[in-house]
Amino acid sequence: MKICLSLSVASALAALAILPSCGDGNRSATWAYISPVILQPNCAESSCHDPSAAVDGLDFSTPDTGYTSLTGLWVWLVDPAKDGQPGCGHAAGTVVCEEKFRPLVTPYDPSESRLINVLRGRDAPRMPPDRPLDEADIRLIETWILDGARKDETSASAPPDAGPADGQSDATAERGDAGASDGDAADRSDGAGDAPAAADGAGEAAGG
Amino acid sequence: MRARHLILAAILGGVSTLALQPAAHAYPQFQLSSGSSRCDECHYSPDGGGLINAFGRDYVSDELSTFGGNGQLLHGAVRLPAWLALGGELRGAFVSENDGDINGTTNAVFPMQADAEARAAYGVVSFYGVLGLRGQVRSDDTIVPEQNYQPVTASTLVSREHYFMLRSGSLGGYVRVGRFFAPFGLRMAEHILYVRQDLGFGTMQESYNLSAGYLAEQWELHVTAFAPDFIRHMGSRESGLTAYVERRFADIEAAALQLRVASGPGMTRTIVGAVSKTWIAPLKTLVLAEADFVRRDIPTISPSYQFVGVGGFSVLPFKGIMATLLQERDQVDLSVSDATYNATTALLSWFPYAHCEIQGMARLQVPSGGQDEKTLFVQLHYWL
Repeated sequence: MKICLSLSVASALAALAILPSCGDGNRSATWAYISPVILQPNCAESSCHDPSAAVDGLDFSTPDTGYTSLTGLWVWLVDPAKDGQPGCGHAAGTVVCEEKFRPLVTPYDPSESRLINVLRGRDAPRMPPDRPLDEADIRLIETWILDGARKDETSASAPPDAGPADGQSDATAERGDAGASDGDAADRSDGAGDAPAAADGAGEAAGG
Repeated sequence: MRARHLILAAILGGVSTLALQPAAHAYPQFQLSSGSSRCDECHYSPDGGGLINAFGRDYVSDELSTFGGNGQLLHGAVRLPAWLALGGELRGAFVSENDGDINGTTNAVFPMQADAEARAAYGVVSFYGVLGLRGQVRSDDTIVPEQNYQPVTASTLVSREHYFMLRSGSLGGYVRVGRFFAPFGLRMAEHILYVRQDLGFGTMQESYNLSAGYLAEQWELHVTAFAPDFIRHMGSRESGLTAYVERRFADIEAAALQLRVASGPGMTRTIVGAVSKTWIAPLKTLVLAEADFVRRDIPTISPSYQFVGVGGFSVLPFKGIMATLLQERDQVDLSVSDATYNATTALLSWFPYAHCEIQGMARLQVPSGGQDEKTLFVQLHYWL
C-alpha cells in the first residue's frame, strides 16, 4: 500500500503527461500576462536577461524592465564620427553617444519585430537558446504586437514609439514613456553613466 | 557588430544555461537508495545538499565509489577540528546543443563551477557559507545600456548560500536565517528541469530566508519565509512562504506535500504540489516524482493555472553507477491545449573514486508546435 502511494503519484503524473489539456481558452494577449507567464520564466535567467547579467541590457525579470527592454532602452554607443555633437561625450579616449536602442518590437507588425524573429529563429539566432518557446506562446506574443504592443490595456495607453526599423537608433526620440520605472534599474543606470565603463568595450567596437 | 553581438549572446547563452550548477543541490536519488532515509544524515543542511558531514564522507569512501578511496577532506590528508568543516567543488563540462538555430549545433567546453564551502559551529549555533566564481558569459560591453545595466565584473564572485543556523541535534527543531533555497520539491541537481526553472528554483535564484523546521525519524517539516536577494539583485524577485512536509514509511517510501505562495512583480502565484520516492530494493531502483499545480493571479486578468511535473526512476545496479531517466511536463496554461513542453532526460553518473564523478546527460525538449531542442552534456566533477 505504501509503495502504491508513491507509484500513484508517478502514475498521475504520467497520465497528465499524455492527456490533453482542458481546452482552447482565450488567453490574455496583454503585457500583464505575457511578461510574468512567458518571458520571466524563459528569459530572465541568471546568465541571460535577469538583473545580474542583463545581456545586451535586456532585463525581463519584471514587467517594467521587460517592457523597457523591448521598447525604450537607452544606451551608450561608441561613435567617434559624432564627436562634439549633442548627446555625445568623451570617455576613456573615445567618443560615446547616448542613443535609443533599436526597439525589439514593432507595434502592429510582428513580422518586422526583432523579438518574433529571434523567438522563431528566423534569420536570427534562436531565443531562448536552451528552451525554444512553444507555438502557442509565440502566437500570443504576436497577437500582443498586432494589438499595438501596449504596456497596459487602458485606452489612454499609447503604443510605444516604433523607432526606425533599420536598426539605427533614434537619438531624438522622446525619453521617459517606457523608461525604467523601478529603483533597481535607476540604480544600475549610474554604472552605465560611468563613461569609462562604456568606453572600455566600446573601443573594440570602434576598432572593429 | 550588433549581429555579431547577438550571435555571441546566443552561443554563450546556450552554454550558460548549463554553466552554473548550484552546490546547494545534491543527489536526492541517494535518499532511501543509500540506506539513509533523511538527507541530513549525510549533509549539514537539514534538507540536504551542499557540504557533506563525516558520515557522508564515510559513505563516499565505503559505499559510493566503485574503487573506494578516502572520502575525507583532501583524501584524508588534513584533519580538522570537529567544529570546522571545509569543502569545495570543481566542475568542467562539454555541451552540445541543437535547436535548429541558423548557426547550427553549438559545441562548447567550459568551466562550470568553482566553489569553496565552509561550516563553523559553536555549540548549537553554526554558520555555513559558499563562495565561488560565477560563470561569466558576456564579454566587455560594446553596447552599454543605461537602464537595466549590470557591469560585467559586478557579479563574478558570488555566494550562493550563507546562513546561520540554530540546531541542537540531528533530530528535533531548527531555525536558520540567510541565503539558500527554501526546502521544496525533489531538489534535483539539474537546474534545467522545469520543476526548478519554472517554480523559482533556477540557477542563482536562492532567496533570503527565515526558515524553521522539525526533523523526526519518520517525518520532517520545513516552513520558510523568503524574500529576494536584496544585495546583488540576482534571481527571483518573489517573496512569500513555503511549507514542505515529508512522511517516510519503512525506509523505502517518502511522500511529501508542499505549498508555496509567492508574490512577485506583476503576479502572485500559489503552488500546491506533491513529491514521492519509492525504493524498490530487488530492482535497485528508486521511483521518484513531483507534481505541482500553480495558480497565477495577475491584476486585471482572470486567474490562470499551470501544471509542472517530473517523474522517472534511478537505477543503481553496481557500486558507483547511477542511471536516471526522467520525463517532464510543463503545461503553461491549462486553458490552452498547445501551450506545453515535454522533455525526456537521461543521466548516467559514475563515481569511480572518492571525490570524483563523471556524468553524461542526453535531453530532448519538445515544445508543442515549436522547435525541438537536443542537448548532450558531459561533466567532470571533483569535490574536496
